[in-house]
Amino acid sequence: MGDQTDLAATCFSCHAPDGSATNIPSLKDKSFDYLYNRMMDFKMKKANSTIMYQHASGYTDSQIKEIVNFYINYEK
Amino acid sequence: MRNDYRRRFLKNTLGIFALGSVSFNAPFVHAKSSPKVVVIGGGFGGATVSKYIKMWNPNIDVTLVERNTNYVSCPISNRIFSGKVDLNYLTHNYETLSKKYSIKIINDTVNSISPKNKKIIFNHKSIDYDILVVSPGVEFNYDNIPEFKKNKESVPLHAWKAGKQTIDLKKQLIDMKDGGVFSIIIPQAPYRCPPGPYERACQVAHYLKNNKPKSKIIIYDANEKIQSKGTLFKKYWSDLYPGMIDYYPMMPLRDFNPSTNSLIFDFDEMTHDVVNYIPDQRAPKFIREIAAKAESNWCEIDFRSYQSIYDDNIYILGDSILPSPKMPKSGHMANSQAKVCASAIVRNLSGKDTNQNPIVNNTCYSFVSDDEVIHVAAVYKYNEEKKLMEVIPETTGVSGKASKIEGIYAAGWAKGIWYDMFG
Repeated sequence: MGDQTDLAATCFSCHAPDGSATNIPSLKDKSFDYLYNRMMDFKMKKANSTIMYQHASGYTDSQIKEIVNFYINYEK
Repeated sequence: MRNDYRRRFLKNTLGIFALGSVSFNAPFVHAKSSPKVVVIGGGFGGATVSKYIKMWNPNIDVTLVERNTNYVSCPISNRIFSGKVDLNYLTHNYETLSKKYSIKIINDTVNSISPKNKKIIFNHKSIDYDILVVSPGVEFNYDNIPEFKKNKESVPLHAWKAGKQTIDLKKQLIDMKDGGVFSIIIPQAPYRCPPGPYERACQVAHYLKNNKPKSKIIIYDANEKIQSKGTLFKKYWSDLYPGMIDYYPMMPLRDFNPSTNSLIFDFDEMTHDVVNYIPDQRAPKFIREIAAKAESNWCEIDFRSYQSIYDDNIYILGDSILPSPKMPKSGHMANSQAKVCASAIVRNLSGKDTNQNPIVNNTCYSFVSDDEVIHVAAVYKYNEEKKLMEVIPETTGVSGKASKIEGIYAAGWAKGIWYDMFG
């Protein structure tokens, strides 16, 4: 338990702690750069999305880094 | 200030243990016996908080009290009316929570809580708790409708807790004649699932369009306007079901006349073939009487932990709380709150401070046809000055238009959040 987990936990409803998902894009086995750039592109509205531009806008850049670090370091 | 909170928490929780033998820095989990956390309510808030407390600290003793052996999801249940899903698809059980996470499950109905003795009282027994988390959903309140208060048998179906009533209402819809009137009564906000009644109108309309196209849906809304996704719902009612749905705002139901089967409003008495009456709502009595202000319908909590402002050993989640502005009573919101609450409990039992900057979010999909969907979503952060969660302005919004891709995402959302609760 820590701040990083608390932040990442806001994503678990849809994306699960390990990033796996059905019918929505999976976060599993992705690189830091891929996940970070996607989130930043959503936030800056550079990438098309239905809902993620809203969620990504809820976090500072450093919070996004923390969330991405949680996912890339996730161990079962 | 939060150190005060922590000290209060430890002092109160430690009262039952040997206080002298455990210092503030010694995590509870290393004490001889772990404190007993009991969670009441096995839905979006309760199942989630139980699982996450265990996931984040398996040494904590967690018991989940739920009156039913299965859980039927309210989110997605409106699709029963268009015929796209069945009850089986919505139904979940507590087996994984029990086996994988070692959560003790008690299937019983709570009568009352004794905060003084830290006991939960059922019909034939009682159990003790050290920390109680309550996530009971809503209680229906019939007091404002004289006929329903007097005669419970005359109360029409609500289908606002998914299950048998959903199936019974669908059967009434199937049995309705072509050319019939299906009425939906919406209570004064706040109520569970703000867009739910309007989505239900879409799902019923989808069925009627294909099966009984001469029929009408009439919506009587106690509120002054559609409570969520209003512009989009109006557009799709008109585009997809032209002339079928009539919407009347500011029409609170005042009474019901069983002899003529009519709905009584301030200036009108209306008849129907089928009526779906969504009652007024409030926190259930057993928690309201110990955790809400007198005359208030909802329980007040600290949004950093979901701890009751009246009792340090009780936490309340989900539909039963007095929410921050623009914080809906939704399954997703309860699930999001549950993680903040689980984190606060696990941190405090380990002697750590509560997160002072919690974030929660909401995602809510509504089906406007059998496969096209619109969403509303927002992210909320804690405002220390106001002691409330507030919407981060750039995160709030709805779909530009209904789409099939959001229909696929909605199914993915359901699968994901059900796994988050029960998997």
